[in-house]
Amino acid sequence: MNKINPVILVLGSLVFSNANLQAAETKIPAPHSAVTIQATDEENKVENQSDQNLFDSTGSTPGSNNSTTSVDTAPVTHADLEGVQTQINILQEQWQRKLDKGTVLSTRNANLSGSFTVNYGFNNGNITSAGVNDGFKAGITSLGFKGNLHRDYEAGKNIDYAFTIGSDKTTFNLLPSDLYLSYQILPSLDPEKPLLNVTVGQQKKPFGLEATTSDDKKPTVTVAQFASTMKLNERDLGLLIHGDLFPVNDYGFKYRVPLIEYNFMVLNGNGPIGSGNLTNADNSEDLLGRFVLNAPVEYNNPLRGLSVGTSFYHGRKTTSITNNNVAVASKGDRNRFGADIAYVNTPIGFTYEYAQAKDPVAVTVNKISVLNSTKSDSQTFTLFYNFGEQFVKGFVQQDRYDDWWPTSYQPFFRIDRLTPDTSLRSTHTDVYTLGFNWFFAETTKLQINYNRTLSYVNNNKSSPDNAFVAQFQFGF
Amino acid sequence: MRKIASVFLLIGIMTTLISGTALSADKPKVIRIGCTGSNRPIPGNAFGILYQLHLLEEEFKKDGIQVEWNVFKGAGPASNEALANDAVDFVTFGDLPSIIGRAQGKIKLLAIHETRRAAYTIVQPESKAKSIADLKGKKWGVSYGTSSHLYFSKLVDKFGFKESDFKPINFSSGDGKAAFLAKEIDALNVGSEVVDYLALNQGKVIYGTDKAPELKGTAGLVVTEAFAKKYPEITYRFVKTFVRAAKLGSEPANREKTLSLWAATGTPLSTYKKEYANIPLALILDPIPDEYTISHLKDGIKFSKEKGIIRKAFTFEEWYDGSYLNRALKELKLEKYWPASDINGKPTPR
Repeated sequence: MNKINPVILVLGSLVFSNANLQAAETKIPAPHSAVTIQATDEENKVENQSDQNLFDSTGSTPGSNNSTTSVDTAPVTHADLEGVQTQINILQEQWQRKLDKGTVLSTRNANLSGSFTVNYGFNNGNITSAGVNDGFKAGITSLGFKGNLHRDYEAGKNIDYAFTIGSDKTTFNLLPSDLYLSYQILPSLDPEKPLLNVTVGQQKKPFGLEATTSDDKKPTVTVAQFASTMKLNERDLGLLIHGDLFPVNDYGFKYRVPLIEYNFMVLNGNGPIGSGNLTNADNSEDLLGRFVLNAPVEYNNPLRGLSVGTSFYHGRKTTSITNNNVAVASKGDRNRFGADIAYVNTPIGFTYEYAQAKDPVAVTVNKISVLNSTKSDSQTFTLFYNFGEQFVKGFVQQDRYDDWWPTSYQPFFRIDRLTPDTSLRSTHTDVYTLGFNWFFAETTKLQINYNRTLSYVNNNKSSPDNAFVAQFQFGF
Repeated sequence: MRKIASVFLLIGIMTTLISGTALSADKPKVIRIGCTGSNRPIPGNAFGILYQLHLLEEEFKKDGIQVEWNVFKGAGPASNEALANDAVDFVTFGDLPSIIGRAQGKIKLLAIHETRRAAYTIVQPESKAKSIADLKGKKWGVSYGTSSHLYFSKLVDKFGFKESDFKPINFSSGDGKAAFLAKEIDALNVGSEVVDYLALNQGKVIYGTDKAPELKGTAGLVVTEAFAKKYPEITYRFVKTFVRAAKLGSEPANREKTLSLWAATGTPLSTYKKEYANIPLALILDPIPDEYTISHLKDGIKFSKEKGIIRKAFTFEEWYDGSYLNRALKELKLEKYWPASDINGKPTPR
């Protein structure tokens, strides 16, 4: 029985391996000289013998279930087998008890995830456009489930879902974040074929780069000005068709890139679900589209990661105008246009994004207000450099016994300009951000940002606002 | 304001310091190795011996050079990705990924890490399929970008079919096994673990390299050109240590122990014993490219170009740098230790 008792095997393996590791340290031959000389026959003889001694003295690595098999070749008896069976039964009972008492169960596949940020900031208080206040502050929080409702092994026409809640930045009330159902319309198992997916529910709006990038991928603590002022980073209720065409596969790197990506979305345009915002308030749907051209190249091509995109958004917004002291609701166009170029490679990358917005405004002349429109636009440029393998997908997927993760560093620089009224170009706000991200665990990073905000009114520059913010972002 | 200036300065210093680590002197601080595991973070073959006997660590200890082992779950494609991003210096991987890696990147083949890697196509135990032709239109698990991909492509080509005549589904080895056992796919390409499927009646072999030895795989040891150019002596010492490990594993007296060490990868010892029954391990661990392995790799390059797997062809001679291996063999007096094979795998004088 003792011969193949698994517990004893493991313990024995550990003891022997440890002893042999120590033996290895003492029996290893003297390391060779780096000088290019031929070893003598005597040296080779000694070296070969030392290698053999080391080999003879070394057992299997801890964890091997075969560490003693090679030296014990006696036949297994019936009693041995009964012993193993008993051990397995005990383990099975223990596992079942643990499963019954302490395991969260779900009807369908569910991945629980969450993220939280806490930061400390201070500024010289001239202006607050950088969004940084003195002291500690809790940032974005999210908690949710994502999973699969139906897996189609035949063609990969899977049905997936997302159910997440998150806090807003001001009240910290938990509100629905991603709430959607997603279906692969076209078969998704063959990477040579195009993909087509439909998603219905509350989700991100696929407009540009800044608004669609998840928070854990953004280098900066604060989002670009236009994303919030043009309300592009808000989630919305709608139906999204997302697909791609002409994919290029580089199997040697498990890399797939489609030449064209396209998105069409019909949405309410009212922003995320909140109190009293469960239906479409203006009774008209907004439309959104985005097209991206990716460089159709192999993984090792320097152009990998180069893409150009354009986005448009057409909607209506209800604005109150006054006519003879009577407020009247009037609808005006709310349009967005965007163009972007990105080069996201390793170790260097950049993104540039232009966004333009047209929103209705009420203009009152002689107590009569009319519906007019105002145009705003924005340009954002970000340059970054990565040290470390955080973003090398194949590299981070390693088999390790310890909780390993490649420590990575990412310095970056951003210029962000917002012109709230394009007819007054001399009035705008510039935010310069110099930052450093330190990825020190799999889902955790420290972000350090220095923001210098310059506000111009009719070309008159205000005193600069200098802000510093350090933020921990962590998730699971 | 002074605080902010300090932060600004700190960021600059940190960036400069990190940049400085990329710059190096006459020797590296660390030698970064990439390889593939099976079920545990432990490599097999000659690398398995190197890893478990700590031969490289001992070799470079006096220089203060650390040895970093990266055992990738993503097999060959992950190794290529790591090479492309300058995350590793030395890598062992199979024929197809190394051919793709050379076609796109700057790597040199230093030695052979494994020859005669077996491959089999299995079907469900109750399947009525008896030949490759019977698999037309059936779902077939293939791990793209790995040696399994080259085996699959050459196999269907051998029988005059096109890949599109079947329904190849791209799986990692682990996912492919799960899908096959769940009977979600009809056929699967496997390696030496075929004996487990047979022993447990979980599958049956429909074709394999036992019938077509020319489809057997080869794995190589490569180094980045940049590393070899910058540290030629370190590269040489690495290769020499690698040869010492191959020699230990090749010794007939060490056979049982070698298989036992390999079993630490998670593949059962019984599997190795069955797979390599009647095969001297010296044949598997021979680090010297002979006519058999050279013809296999040349054929792999030609085939990959013809099938569009690689866009840019190259010659074996452009890829292989035998200077380090030859010097190590000479210094260790092992030039004639390993038996050579001719183009058909038959023994031939070296």
